[in-house]
Amino acid sequence: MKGTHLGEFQEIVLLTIMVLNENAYGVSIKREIKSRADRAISRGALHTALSRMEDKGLIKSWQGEANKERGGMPKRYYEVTNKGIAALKDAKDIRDQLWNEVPKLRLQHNYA
Amino acid sequence: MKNPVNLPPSLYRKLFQKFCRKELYYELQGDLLEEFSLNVEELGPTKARWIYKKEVLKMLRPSVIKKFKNSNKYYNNTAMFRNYTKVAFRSLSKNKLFTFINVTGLAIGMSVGLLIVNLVFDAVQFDQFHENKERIHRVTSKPVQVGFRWNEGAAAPNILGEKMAEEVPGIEAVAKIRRWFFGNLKLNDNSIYANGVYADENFFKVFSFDLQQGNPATALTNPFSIILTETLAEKLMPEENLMGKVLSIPERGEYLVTGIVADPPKHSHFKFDALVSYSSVKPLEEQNILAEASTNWRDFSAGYVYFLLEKGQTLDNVQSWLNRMGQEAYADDENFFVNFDTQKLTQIVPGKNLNNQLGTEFPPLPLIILGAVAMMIVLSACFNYTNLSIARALRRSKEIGVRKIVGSSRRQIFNQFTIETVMVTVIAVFFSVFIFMVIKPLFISSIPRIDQVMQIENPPVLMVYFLLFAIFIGLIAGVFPALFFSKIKPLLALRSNASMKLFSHLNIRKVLIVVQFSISIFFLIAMTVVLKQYRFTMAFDMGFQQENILNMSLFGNDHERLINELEKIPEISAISASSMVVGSGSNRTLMLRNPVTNDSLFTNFISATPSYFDLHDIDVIAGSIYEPRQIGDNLSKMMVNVEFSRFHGYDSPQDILGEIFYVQGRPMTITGVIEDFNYQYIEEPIRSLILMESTNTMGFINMSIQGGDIVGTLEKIESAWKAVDEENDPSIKFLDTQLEEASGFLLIFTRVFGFLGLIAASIACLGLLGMAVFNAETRVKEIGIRKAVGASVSNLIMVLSKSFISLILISGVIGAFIGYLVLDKLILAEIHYRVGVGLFEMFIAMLILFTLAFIAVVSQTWRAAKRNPVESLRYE
Repeated sequence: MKGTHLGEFQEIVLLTIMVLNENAYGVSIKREIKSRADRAISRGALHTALSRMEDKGLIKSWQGEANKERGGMPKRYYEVTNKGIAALKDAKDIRDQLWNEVPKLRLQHNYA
Repeated sequence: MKNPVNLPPSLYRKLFQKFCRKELYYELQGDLLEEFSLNVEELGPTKARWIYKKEVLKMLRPSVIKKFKNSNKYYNNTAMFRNYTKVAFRSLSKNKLFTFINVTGLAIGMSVGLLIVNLVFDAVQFDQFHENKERIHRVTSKPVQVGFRWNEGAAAPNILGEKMAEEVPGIEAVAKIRRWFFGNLKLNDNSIYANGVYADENFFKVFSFDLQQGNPATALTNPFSIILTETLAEKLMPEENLMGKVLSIPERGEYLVTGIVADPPKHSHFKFDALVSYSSVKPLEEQNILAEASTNWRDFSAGYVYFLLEKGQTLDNVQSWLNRMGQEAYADDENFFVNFDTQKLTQIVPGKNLNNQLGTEFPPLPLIILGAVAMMIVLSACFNYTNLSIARALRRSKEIGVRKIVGSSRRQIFNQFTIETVMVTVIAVFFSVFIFMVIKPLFISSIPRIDQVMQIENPPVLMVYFLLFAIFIGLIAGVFPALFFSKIKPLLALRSNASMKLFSHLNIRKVLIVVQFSISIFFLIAMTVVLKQYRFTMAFDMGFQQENILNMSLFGNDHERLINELEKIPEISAISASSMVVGSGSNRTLMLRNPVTNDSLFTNFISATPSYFDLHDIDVIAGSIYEPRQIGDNLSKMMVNVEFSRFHGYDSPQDILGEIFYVQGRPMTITGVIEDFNYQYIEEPIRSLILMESTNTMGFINMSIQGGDIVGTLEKIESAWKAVDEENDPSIKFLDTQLEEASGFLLIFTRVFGFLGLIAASIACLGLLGMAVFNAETRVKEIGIRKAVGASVSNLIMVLSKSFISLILISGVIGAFIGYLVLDKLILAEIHYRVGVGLFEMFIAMLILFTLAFIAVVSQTWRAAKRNPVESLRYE
């Protein structure tokens, strides 16, 4: 369990990569997170998260094509591995369990 | 164009390329560039460039930046560091003399540095305790008037503050302060003297003084309310709650205690024992107890205006309003307007030099000068270290050669020597803290008013700053030798006959010696010149009698009653009352109107009874002294000085007699003209002056005494004082002592320059001593041969000392030149009656230093020259 524990940010990054499917690379991941979660992250922070997850084997990457906007520098695409998917599922299961255990009444907002 | 708008900032692009790891560079830079070009379309180029810069800076994280070269090459760093420390200790204890010179020099130099660190540490803490310090400002005023030079002052008319609160938007609160509240507070039989200010109800809204009892919003609202500080309350009535009690103050009425406030913190720019509600000012002015200043637009000394800006507001609104008011409020006088300005609370201390400060003042100029001087001295000590370390390279070069051959990198050698230097400075800082402890009280007591800024206690956190300072100094002193040593080529170092070549281009050492000695000579010249100016000032004929005159402060007592008492004492031959101690510079000004030209201008003024002139032996040149004023007489006669009649265009003093001038709107006839005398400091030229007997501005009693029994006379004066004022002790001073005190700053300069000169000279001589020792040691064989071939001792001393002597001569010329420029053109230029910088002072300064340097050099060369050549040549 311990090795596959996901941080909240890591979880979002993993899910975003899966949403983006074939087109997950630095800029697209960053912009997707910005548009969905309204969360501005720096490319540096994203790099740290990606490289850690790659070390853990949750994602893998390969070099892609270059274009003019990028000053001729190739992209690096990311893809979630089976281990990554398993870690996501684990995280989701724990959450679902917890959500189910919460008494219905507590879910209403309190306006005391 | 270097940087087209649609390209990312090149500096940052290159920066990123520099620090990013190679294997990540394409991916990350590509992403950044792509993002940038998207941002240019969506947000515009400026924003995009800004985002790019931010992104690059955020890339500074361990996972992105390059690993340092070699960082994983040496696994056991601690072992190396331990070795460096050990070697450093060994080499330090092996060369005891050099260690001694370095540690002493650095310790002496750094103790001066520590003083400055301490001073800065204290000065920057001022007014930091106010919660809203960022938003509090005060209004300063600089009146502009034709024919009179005003200085910018910290005070501003209080009526301006009233208007400001009404008219200017964006101000949360305006706190008006009126200074000079004082008096004996009485409660039952207890009484205590208190100083303070009048403050309005916004006082606690603006400032964060800690009101312990009472309501901050209302405590200062009603007239005749008073807030006491804890200490004052405790002194007045120990262990009793004074809230709600009524205190009486003689001649000022009864005051209700509405609050107890914690003592103002040490780092508050103004301090008080008590606060009285500002609403009391009006009734007090109506009763003529206070001068009418609260509604007077021309009051620039009694009132202060502080204001609190609303959050997010800028000063623009306020400033433009102030600019307008400075013209509008004085529209009736075409020759007069005021430049109002604002000053941030935290910039008051240390802050610019203003007149009429409310409390502590600490202009930044002395701080800068002291800082620069201290830096010079500390650097001088660093030079010594640098010089001596490099000189010793001859001996250490073999060690370095071996280290390098075994595998040390340049960086490691560099580290080793830096560590060694830092060690020496840290040892030195311990000694310098001791020296610092000794000289700090001297420093504080010899510079007047510095105790307002600098605290006697040393807070522990200061020691941390001292240690940081020591490490910083160590790095400065060590960087040059460390660079030098790390550059040594192992092969050259190990070849025995190559060692001399290491020094082939080391002129820098000579430059350093010259710099050190120039600094020392400069300080010594400064000391002698300022001493000369002090002697000159003391001997200067100021135009009035200085001996056997006693001055006594009135403390608000009636001068006529006191004079009646004093007249009974036979030893007093003459008595007068006056508004200022003559020659001490603290004169007042009044508004004077010339009836002919109709010009209004401020003029210096002294209030004096008719006997004042005889007592001070001031000659009347034309006309006669005004008659003593009888009760009920209107003030209508005045005397002027010769400069006055000259200034107003009268050729002969006779012509001005009987003319009527208007003083504060009141017609005054000139009855006599007196000779010019230096009633202000000697730094000021004599300006026009009016004298009259204005009874409510008297501040001092002047007495001319006769007979030898001064102690007995003083006792009689004291008992006369007690008959008039039981509560306060009299303050009696001799005029000549007061004059000496007024010029005391010159003496302080002498002491400071002398002290610094001594320190600089001793550091320089220590360095020279070290160089001489080194020189004598390396040339042992040369000396031996010279001696064996027949050179005499004096011959050898000449040979060995020649280079040093010429260096010192060069620095003598440089130091004298700089000394002349700085002293003659900068420092003495401020003084009106002054001496010049003569050859004699320069000669004295050089003589002192040359003697010291000569002793240092010759003592060493003498020893080397006396040595038996057999000993040094035995192994050849």
